[in-house]
Amino acid sequence: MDGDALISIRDLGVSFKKERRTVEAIRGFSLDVKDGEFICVLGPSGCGKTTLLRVLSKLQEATSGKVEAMKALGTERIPFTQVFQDFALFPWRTVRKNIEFPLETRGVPFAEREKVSSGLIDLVNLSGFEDAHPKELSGGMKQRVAIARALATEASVLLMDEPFGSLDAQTRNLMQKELLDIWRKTKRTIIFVTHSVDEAVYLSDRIVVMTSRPGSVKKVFDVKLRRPRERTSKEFMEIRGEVLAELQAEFDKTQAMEHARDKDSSEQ
Amino acid sequence: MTQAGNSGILGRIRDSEIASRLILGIIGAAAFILFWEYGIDPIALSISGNHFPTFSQSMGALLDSFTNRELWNPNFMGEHLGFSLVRVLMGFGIAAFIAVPLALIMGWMKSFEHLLFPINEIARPIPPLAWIPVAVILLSGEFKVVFICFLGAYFPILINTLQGVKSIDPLLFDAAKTLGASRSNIFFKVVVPATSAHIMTGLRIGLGVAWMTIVAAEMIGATNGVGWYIYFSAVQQGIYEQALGGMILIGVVGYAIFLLMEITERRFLKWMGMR
Repeated sequence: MDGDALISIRDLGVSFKKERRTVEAIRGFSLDVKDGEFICVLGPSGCGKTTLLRVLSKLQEATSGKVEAMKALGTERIPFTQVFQDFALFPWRTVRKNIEFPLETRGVPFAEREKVSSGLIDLVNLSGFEDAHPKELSGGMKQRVAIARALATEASVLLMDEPFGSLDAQTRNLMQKELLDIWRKTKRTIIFVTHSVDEAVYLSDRIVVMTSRPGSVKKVFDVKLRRPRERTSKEFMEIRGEVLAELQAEFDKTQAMEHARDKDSSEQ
Repeated sequence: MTQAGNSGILGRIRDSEIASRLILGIIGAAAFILFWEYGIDPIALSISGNHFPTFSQSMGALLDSFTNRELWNPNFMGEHLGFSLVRVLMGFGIAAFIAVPLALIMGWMKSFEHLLFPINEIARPIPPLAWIPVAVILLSGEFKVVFICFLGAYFPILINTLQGVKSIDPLLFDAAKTLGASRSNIFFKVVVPATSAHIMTGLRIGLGVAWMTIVAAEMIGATNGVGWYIYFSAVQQGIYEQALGGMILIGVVGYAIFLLMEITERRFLKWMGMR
């Protein structure tokens, strides 16, 4: 493990039963994540991206390998927290109360809770909506609440599973910008799963391209562009092209495999 | 947002909807009353040879019962109604007190559900009327009456609450876990509030069914109450317009209870931000 790694994922393997078949989702996945790093994970559909996040956030057990967390993580009750694509807000709680949920479970006293949630509401630009319920909010606003709620935990790593996947293109661009802002201010480490190469290049320090199932690390790209990044700049387009090519190769392989499997089963 | 209120085009459409609904409801009820007043008696005469009390006779008997007592009847109707409501509310309250927590735990812990679901499902189709022997052997006095009302309310509350726990979006559990919630946090801060809409539905239906059992309940263990009044008028006295008057009262009060519960439910869900 690198000296400055915050978490170290070593030779992770995950299999689970689905409709009486064993599915091997991840095999031999290894990655070191530095403190404060923004990592995007890309890969063909069904390559185990979501499973990877579920294992890190302890929603699912790994079958083999290990996840090691370094010093800074040791004392926290939950080192990882997650932001979901479908927001997963509690519909009966107001914006403020949603954000205070992790504070309540941690037993933070009332006055302190209010202070923390007010700060987070400011941070995600939701002032004036403290007492609104989720059903009154737009998709982008819902995801802001979910991000603020995740930040209210003490977790130093934010796992984000296609958090902007259900937003329209414009809202999505805006949210990417704001997320970078939040990331800069809060100094959290982010592992961000996405389908969008553009999004990955815009956001991350490093891009992890996964192989098709069972997923492992295919290639890691360093994105050394300065922020704020210009989507139309030559450098941006270059990296975007490289990542796309890598992803396309993996996608073709998946297609070929599926084709072969279909042929196989139709011959039986 | 909530501004849509009662102003503007939306408000006017809603108002006219309510108006037409009210008018149609009144027309329907009026047609039924006319049929009762003039149609049923001839039919009864031609089939069974009996006279059937008309609507006005039954209403007259009902209104009378609020101001006159009979020799056999020591109470005014207002008092009968009071006794019945207290019994139904007691049965309902006890049922809610038992069924809501029980169903929440059954939905939350698989083994608990497996333990209790079959016996509850077997007991559920048995109508409250059929439980009378159990009430008579096991209990005495008012408890017999309340027990029958309890049975009416218990199963709808249990089944709806259980259904509510099962229909919680599993994503909310995942979210709670990744936000550091313990098992008891998840129960009290996710399961209970997420089920509240179903609990309210169960309570509304449960109270309605408990009210429906009032005749069966008061038949066995009471000497007053609207249910007893109907039973006594019809079976002991053969004064059928009084029995029918009592039926009208049960129907009207039942509908009032339903409306009251529905308004409460809507207010509650709005306050919860869920509707």
